[in-house]
Amino acid sequence: MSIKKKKVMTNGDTTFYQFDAQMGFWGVPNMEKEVSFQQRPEVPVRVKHNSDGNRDEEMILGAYEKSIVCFGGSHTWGGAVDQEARYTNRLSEILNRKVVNMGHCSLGLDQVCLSVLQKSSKYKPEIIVIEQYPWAVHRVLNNYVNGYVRPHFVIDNKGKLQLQKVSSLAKIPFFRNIIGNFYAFRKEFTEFKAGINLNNKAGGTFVDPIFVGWKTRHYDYMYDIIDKILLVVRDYCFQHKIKLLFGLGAIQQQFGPESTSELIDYDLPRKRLIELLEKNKINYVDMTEPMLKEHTADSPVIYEDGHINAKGHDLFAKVLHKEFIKLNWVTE
Amino acid sequence: MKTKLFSELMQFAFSKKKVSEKLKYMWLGIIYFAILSKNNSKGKSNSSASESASGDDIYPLF
Repeated sequence: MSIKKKKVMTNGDTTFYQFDAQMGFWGVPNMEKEVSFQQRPEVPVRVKHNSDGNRDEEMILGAYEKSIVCFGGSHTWGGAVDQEARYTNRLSEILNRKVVNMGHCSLGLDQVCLSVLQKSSKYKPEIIVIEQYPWAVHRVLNNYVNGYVRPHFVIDNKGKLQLQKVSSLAKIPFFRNIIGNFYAFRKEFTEFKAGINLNNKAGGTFVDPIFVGWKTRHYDYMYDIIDKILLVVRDYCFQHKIKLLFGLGAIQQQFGPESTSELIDYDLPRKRLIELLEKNKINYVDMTEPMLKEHTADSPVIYEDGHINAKGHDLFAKVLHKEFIKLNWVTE
Repeated sequence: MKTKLFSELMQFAFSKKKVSEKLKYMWLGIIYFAILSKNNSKGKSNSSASESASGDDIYPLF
């Protein structure tokens, strides 16, 4: 393992990722690099992946030891923050027990579901935490991300959830691009038919249609898929006697000025996700209120792009801990 | 059905601002027409992601 020179990471950077036949992409195992992130380019951050490709230390569990496994996207992976400052590391310190970080940048809820089913058992989880940035729920419709084709779910004519695996051809970048470009075209075409143009961001007035009331219908199918994915994860955890908790982050736009239009609601994906979690009787903790409460101009809890900073991670860990106590999963 | 799909694909192409983009999307629309048409004829009504791409391995999860 060698330490290479510093690189500035921007959102969507795939330096730490490689093709994975099951997940579409996953962290490069045993990679260590000192980089800086666009959120704070002046500060070097050491990123180290273990042999499983997770940004974590090697995890060796005792014979009867169980862990807490945290899944999520770049917030969990720790974009722009030091490894030790992440909420998983903080939670491990607070609870004095092993917390596994299986977060990966740009991971969708569909990939999280597959990771829970296929990768979590190795760590013998007693508790699974799924960190979900509510805006990122749209990823279940985005089948081509950062040059990688993602496995995804579809609902068939009988209303059943089906997994559409990544083609074995996608291992080869040339074919991956061909498949991915088709997915990208199909998505853009479908959005065009719904009157959505995600490329038209000129003039600074662009509002993501996921927040727009009159575009909600386009996303109904997405929420149907999420509903069924939640059921799969819930049932898997129930069958394996694993406690499941969703941690919902606060959306970047909620830290800014309130929407002047009643038709634009930055809370929309969060509210829809909460509806589904409650419908499926899945425990969740909403970070919005504590995050907004602790956020000040002098001491923010997020970076400008919405990723949580070290203070945000610390808060995230404390709120999770409090919720564990409330649920009687740990003692004070 | 096929005529409607083709018409929508062409509308999509012509919605692009630049001539080069219009041509590119017309070309892509023609290339992808067969796959999109095949999916439509299967009667899948899901709007965004339900269509399958040829070559993909699909199996029911449960």
